[in-house]
Amino acid sequence: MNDPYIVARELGKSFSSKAVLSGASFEVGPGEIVGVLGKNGAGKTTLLELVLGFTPATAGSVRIFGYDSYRLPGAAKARIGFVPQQDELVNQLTAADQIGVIASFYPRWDDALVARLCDEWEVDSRQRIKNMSVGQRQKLSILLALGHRPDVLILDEPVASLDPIARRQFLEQIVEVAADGRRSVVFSSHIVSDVERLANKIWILKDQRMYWQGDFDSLKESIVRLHVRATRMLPESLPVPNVLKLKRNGISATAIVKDWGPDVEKRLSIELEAEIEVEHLALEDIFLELHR
Amino acid sequence: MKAVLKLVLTYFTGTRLLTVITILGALGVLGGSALFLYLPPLLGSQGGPSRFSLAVETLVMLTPIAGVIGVVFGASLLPTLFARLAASHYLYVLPYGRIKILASVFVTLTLVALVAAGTTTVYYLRTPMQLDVVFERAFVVSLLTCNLLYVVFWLTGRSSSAIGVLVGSIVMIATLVLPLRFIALPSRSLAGPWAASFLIWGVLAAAFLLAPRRKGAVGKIRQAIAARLTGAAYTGGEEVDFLVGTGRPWALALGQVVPILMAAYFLSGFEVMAPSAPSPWLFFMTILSILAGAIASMAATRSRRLWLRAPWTRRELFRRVENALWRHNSFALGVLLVMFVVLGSHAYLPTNVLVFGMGLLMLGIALSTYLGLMITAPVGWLDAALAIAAMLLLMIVATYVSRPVMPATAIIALETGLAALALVFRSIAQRRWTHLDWMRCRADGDVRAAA
Repeated sequence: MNDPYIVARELGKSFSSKAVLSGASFEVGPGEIVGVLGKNGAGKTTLLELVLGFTPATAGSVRIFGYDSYRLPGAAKARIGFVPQQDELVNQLTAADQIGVIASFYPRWDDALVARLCDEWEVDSRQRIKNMSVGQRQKLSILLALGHRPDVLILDEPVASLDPIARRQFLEQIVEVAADGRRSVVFSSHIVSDVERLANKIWILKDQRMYWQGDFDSLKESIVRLHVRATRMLPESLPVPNVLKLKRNGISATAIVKDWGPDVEKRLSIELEAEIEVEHLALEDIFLELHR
Repeated sequence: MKAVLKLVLTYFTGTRLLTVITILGALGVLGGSALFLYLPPLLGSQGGPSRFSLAVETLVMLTPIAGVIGVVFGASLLPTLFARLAASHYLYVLPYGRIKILASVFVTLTLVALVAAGTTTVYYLRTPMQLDVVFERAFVVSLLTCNLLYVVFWLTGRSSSAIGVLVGSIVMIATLVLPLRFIALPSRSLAGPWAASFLIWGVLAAAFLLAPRRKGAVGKIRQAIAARLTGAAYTGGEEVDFLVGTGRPWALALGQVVPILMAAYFLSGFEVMAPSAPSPWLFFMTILSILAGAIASMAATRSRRLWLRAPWTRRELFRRVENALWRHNSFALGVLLVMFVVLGSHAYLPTNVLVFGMGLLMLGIALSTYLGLMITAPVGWLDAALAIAAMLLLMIVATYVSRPVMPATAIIALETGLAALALVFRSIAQRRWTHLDWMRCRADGDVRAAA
């Protein structure tokens, strides 16, 4: 297996005494597309900024390409692309000038790719950035992060201001980036359907912690909704670990359970003398159930 | 190297206007210098200089200076672009971004200083003065001047207002005369400008390279200062002051003292101010009076929230905002007048210069205030031309006022003309405010967000 590009161990960040992220350990390898989900303030941006070395970690460590992310050498930075939550373009310049400025920093810049994307995404390179719409600016920001064909592409809510067509184009482009199996993408988003469509690995942040990480299928199999119908009154609590939520009504109950498995189903069925129906949830439902 | 060159090129040619200014500046420097060196003395039909030949020679002499100003202005994207990149995440993710951006700034400053120093040396080619000495003096002082100019330009440019940029530009022009002083006085040591240049570069480099590593500590200090300045200093007052930004008049009023004292040092040396040369003083003070009124340029944008919260008509809104601005400006004007009288008395300025100078300061602040209030939409060519014309008029009148030989009636007429112009500006502003459209005067970001 290829060495992972990003390795974090017990990563944490706190301001004064307030922790904004704690105990996050993860790895990102080539070919992986990681979708980061979490409520506002869950620590998504902090996590991405720690990975990029924008701010020092107060606990643990994170390394990209084997380097401490806070002390990344220029050669390592040339392999990273980043799209911030809010664009950081220079209003006075035209798109072409902005592209020219950013391109000049990279030893290998793919002019053909950028020209093609400008064309496909309808970004007018002659237009002044000041006169661009929010969506156009965001497209340009994404273009700038893709132009040097980075090995690691990190995007902080990149599609929030894009229309559905542009979002779909963006998703296709990300798939293309990761298609060769040598690059990886980490992106945060509130649009769960995009994460579901694109990511092959999901991180869910909750209460400033890495609540869940793994591939989408594992997540769907792990967190399920149970419909229990027994022949006698059900106990106050179900005899399974990690019940996230339980709604009991005499002989029937509905529960959201984490770390679900066939053995647990069998055991529960016998213990409660009940009929168990397991409902696998869509990602959006999982996300909502986890945060209700 | 590629990135540094690209950045330098972008500073000079980032917009179409800057490209034109830079090219005209370069042509002015090269063409003007060539004409100055190789054009034979022009003579009239009588064998002596005619009015026309004198005018042409003056034009030829001034062309290289205009060219230098063009080159300086041409790079006016430097502070904006530098600040934008410095405050963005690009600084962290661009390979060797920090060092390349910093290098591009130093290269640009050096380039501009070299052009200024080279042009200055051209003027001394046919004199017995040692050219290497002239060049060194011109270079070091130009370098210091450029450093300060771009800082001023950045600070004034941050207001995103035409007035702010205009004032920055005027200060730039004013500061450009500094090199002449050091060249005209060969005995004056260059140690000060060298040290100041290195200090500015050192501080800039250290802050730029190290500050991100100390971001936490810097942030805490900034928060503490902000809390002191905003939380503690604002003690209620009228809502209109809070929303228009006129709630803390003392900050600007007292802040003016620092550049005035600096000017006292730079312009003539505090202890040897020449009573025969009041013009730099008046010139500088007039610029400060314009600067004090410049806050008005944001009034239309800021008044939107007032409009939403108060049951006023647009005309009533104008009246209240105007009052708030004058309350604010009176503090700044008061300090300016006191400083002018104190420094003027110390420098033995003639009484009529003091009296008319005080009038001019009031007119400066009035013109700038009403020009600012006129900005109710993106600044067009007409408004920009009006503003530039008004500022030039002020400067010309400042020059006349500072001449003790000028008849009082002429100065009174000129100042009356300026007062009339201020009233015209007020009338235009009032009319524009009665049809104020906040979609047109909102900041770009807000408009985009709304769209």
